[in-house]
Amino acid sequence: MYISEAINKVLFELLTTNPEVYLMGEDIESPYGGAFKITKNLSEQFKSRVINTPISESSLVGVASGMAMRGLRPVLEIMFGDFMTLGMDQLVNHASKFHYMYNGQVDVPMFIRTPMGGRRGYGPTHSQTLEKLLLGIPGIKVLALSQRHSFHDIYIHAVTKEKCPVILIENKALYSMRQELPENGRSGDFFITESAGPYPCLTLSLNNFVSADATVVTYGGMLPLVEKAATQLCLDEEIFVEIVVPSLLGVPLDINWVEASLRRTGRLVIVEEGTQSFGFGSEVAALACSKYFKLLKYPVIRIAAADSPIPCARHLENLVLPNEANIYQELKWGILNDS
Amino acid sequence: MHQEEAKLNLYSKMFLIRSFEKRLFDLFKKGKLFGTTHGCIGQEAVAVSVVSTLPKDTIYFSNHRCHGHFLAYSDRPDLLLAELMGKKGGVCAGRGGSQHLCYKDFFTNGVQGGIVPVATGIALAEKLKKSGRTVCVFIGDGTLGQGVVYESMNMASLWSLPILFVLENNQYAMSTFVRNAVAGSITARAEAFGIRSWDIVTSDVFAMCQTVQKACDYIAEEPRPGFLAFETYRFCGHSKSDECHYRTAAEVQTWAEKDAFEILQTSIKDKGKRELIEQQCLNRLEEVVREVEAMPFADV
Amino acid sequence: MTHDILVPRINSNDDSYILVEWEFSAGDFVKEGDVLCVIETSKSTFEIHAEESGYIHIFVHEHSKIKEGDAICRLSKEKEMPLNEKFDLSRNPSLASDKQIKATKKAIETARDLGVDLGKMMGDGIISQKDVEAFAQSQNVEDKKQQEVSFVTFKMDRDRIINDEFLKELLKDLGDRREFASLPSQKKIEIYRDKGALIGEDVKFERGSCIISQFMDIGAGTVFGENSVFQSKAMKIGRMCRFGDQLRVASTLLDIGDLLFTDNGIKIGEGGEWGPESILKIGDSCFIGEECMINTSRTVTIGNEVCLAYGAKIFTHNFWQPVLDGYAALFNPVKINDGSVIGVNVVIMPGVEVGAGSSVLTNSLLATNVPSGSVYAGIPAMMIKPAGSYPINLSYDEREKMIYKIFESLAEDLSFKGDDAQVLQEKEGVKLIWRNENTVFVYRRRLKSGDDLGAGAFKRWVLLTFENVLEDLKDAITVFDLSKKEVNGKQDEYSDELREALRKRGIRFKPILWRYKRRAQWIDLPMPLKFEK
Repeated sequence: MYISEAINKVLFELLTTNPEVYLMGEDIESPYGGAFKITKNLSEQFKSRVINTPISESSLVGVASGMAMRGLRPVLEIMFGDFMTLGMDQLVNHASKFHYMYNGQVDVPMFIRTPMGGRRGYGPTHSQTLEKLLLGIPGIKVLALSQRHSFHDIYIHAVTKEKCPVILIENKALYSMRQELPENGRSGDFFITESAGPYPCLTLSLNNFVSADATVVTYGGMLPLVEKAATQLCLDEEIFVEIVVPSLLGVPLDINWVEASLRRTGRLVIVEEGTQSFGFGSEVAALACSKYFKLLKYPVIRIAAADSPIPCARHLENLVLPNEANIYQELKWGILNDS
Repeated sequence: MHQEEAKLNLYSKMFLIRSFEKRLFDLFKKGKLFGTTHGCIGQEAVAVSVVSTLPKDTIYFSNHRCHGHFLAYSDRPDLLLAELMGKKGGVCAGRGGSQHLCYKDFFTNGVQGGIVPVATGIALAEKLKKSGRTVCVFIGDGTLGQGVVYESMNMASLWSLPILFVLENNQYAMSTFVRNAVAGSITARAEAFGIRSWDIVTSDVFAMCQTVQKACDYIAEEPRPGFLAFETYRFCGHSKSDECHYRTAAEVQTWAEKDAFEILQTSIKDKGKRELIEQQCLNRLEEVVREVEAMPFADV
Repeated sequence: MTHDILVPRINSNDDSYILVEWEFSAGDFVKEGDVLCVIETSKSTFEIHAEESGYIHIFVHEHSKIKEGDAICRLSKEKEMPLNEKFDLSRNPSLASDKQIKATKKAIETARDLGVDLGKMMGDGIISQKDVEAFAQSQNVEDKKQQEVSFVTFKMDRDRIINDEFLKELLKDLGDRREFASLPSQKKIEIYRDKGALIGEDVKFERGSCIISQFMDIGAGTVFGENSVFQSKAMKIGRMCRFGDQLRVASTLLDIGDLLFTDNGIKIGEGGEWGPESILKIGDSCFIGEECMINTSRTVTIGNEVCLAYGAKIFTHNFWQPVLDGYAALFNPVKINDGSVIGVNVVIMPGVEVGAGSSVLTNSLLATNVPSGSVYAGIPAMMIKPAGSYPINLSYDEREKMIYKIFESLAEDLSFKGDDAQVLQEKEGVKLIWRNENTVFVYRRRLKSGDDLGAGAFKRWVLLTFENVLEDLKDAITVFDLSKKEVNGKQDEYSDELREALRKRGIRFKPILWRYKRRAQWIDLPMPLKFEK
């Protein structure tokens, strides 16, 4: 099923089975059903628990945390991930700190879901990938799902079981893709292993992990692009890469899931849609250097968006955001030149 | 008689607050306290009148200048002092300090304005849970510069939340005089959102209590949000390090004559009882100081 | 300037075609008019030509399904295909949905080089070069295996296996009744054929003999002796074999070539004959003398024209005392290569290989390998003549002297029978005139047409030569070619005289059209025997 459908379904399930779950956001009520139609038809069934809000991201994050402090489980939609900046004060100075600075007397199990990512031609302020701003905040969890993660399972766990604020990054481009969950360790051309736990990390290989030239860490909406590049590399040059796709990005980041693959390849590549400087890739690289230094045989490669605003026109956007072609190119150059 | 008892009651609470705040400055001078504090000397009446009048199950969210509110709510100077001294018995085990308190349903945070949306969210939750409880959030004149305050008022009114905004206009936001930071009318702001508001310009604690009661009844009825704008003054600096060069002695003197605490103090007929209360309170404070000093530091 | 080449409509009944083969690789320069690729429809193949020159960028892999209108390649002035083009599947939506064989470039090239059909490869995921190489290897191994097995299951279909019930019955019959074994030969053959065996013409099962086997393929003209039991999981026996009486043959697999002659009483099997390596393979034109024993615990391979003389014994296993006490246990195959002789009563130990054209003399105990062309003898067998001692390249003169002697001996035999036979040494060769039968035997080093082979209008000419260049043979002529060991032309009792004479000197010719009769034949002697006093 399409991912937008999958999210809609799981939200429905959450509303059905958990009376303390409330959906909040701008324009989420029927008939509009949300900017990306994720919440369509939900307000019809659950009128009092699907709340349309005014355009007040800054305070909405606070309102959600207040609700969470009182035992409800608010699911707040921030229409575009770019607007998360408005909620930063509430996130940084309030929600993420209450549990700690009140010495554990209060939990803030607030859930924010927001779409990030470009490639839809929405321009500089509606196409960004701003995880890195969130990943710096202690006391919260940031999740990002790819098309191969179970939206159903992870949503249910994050909304109902977590006690701290959770921000789940959806990628707009994934909304119109299908869920492609691995079955018996296979999906399409890939062999896939999954780590245990509520937020699994997937490792993909085209040759059943026999060998590979690089460990490519990526997450969320970048996975389909990395898969395409990896498949083309394999077909063209018989260069095999293993793709490691975590779902929990922090905070803090624990990269134990990359060890097994790194042991096999010795080369770490991180691909993300956010800008390069001080990004997710930087953290993974830094952690890998300190934790797995002996496993690294080559310099770490980061493939990310240029440190620039994202232009609107597609051909210009392509120059800023990483796409299959330049992932392919960078991987190929990196592997062939450094071997 | 009833009035007298009520007076003594209110007075003892206010006296505790003033003495505690004074004692803090003293402890700071002696180097026994770490960090800073935002004293509320002169604003005790607001704290006491609001907290004693509102229902016991009200949920409070206060700001950096929260000691008065805290003591009025909890009557636990030991927890507060221990917190300030980073001791084990502190209300947040040393993690929050002066500005970040949490005790039962009493919360504070040190970021201006940011508490308002949280309080609004709490009110929304209580309304959805149909608990019948009210939320009270304390802001200052300076807080009116923050946008989220207005966003919250908008939503509080839109969704008819049981929340009372209590604005303590102590004439200064840190060093900035209110007229230089706040344009237009304060209560008109609330009214613009359809929130019923009351100006409280009095030095009479009982008058304050009455208005608070009115607001409270109004809020509980539908419910609807309410807004109280108190005129008050702080006689200490904004924070420990503030030497108040931005205001004149004359001004301070003018306000000192309107000090609700002093007026209440003077109005108490039974001097003996009053002094007894004062002495008991001071002794209690000493006891607290001794106790807290002897406590071990908070666990890591 | 770029030019995309689209799949045209080739016929009106297929909704998709297969792109079978590219004539160029990505990046090659193509001239206008060149054949770019071959497309296969349900009915035929179709070539696509380049409409202009350029560098070719290939969009579709070989063996892909394509539809009318799909873009299969692009001809461009640029050698390199822009990267973002690589990923644009939108130009060929039919490709995106079809499950095709996904193989890397290297794999496709290697498959082409090694002749591997990618479609035959099983397993999922993308096929890499290594996968193709491994598959090709296993194919070879498979082929070999197929070949080995195919000796025995030659031309056998699945439904030609003889069914279990019948075999069980045979075994039972063997035990108590021997009814089947006593059936007439023709009946046995009918029954076998009915049950699935492949049996050629003129095969004979003498009295009391039977075969118990799941797969049976017996060549024409083979004769099984009396009271013999052959038991094997699968057997392929060639043409015109002659098996003696009282044989007991047991082995998992029997693969016997043409013209095997065995005497009576041989035993094949003799312990451990049912293992996976219990294979007996015998080439063509071999001889196994009486009372020979071949143990088939491990594979015994006997080449062509090998003689196992009377009482020769071949062992492929040797154990009795416990290995845990340090004693040895041996299980090893034995191989005897072409043209060797294993002498009377020779015992061959496990693991030995006897080289081609060598001899192991009587009563030897052979525990070591014998190199080809050598002579070994003794207990234990030691080298008597070294490797390469035989064959000796005698000169024509020396050989012709021998041939003269052979003709002389033939003449003596014919004379003994009472005929008039005379040998003449001629300049060009040797001649034997058999007057009674109006037959002449002629040896010439080299024959050619128009040769005057001597006076007289003979009924039969039987010619012996090292070099036969006669182009066409008249009806009365038989030629024995000593170089090729071939006999051309008519074969009858006249040519047989020479043939037999040569056979008794180890010179054998093909083809053979007769076998010895079963019983000894008395020759009617026209005169009484004379004894010298």
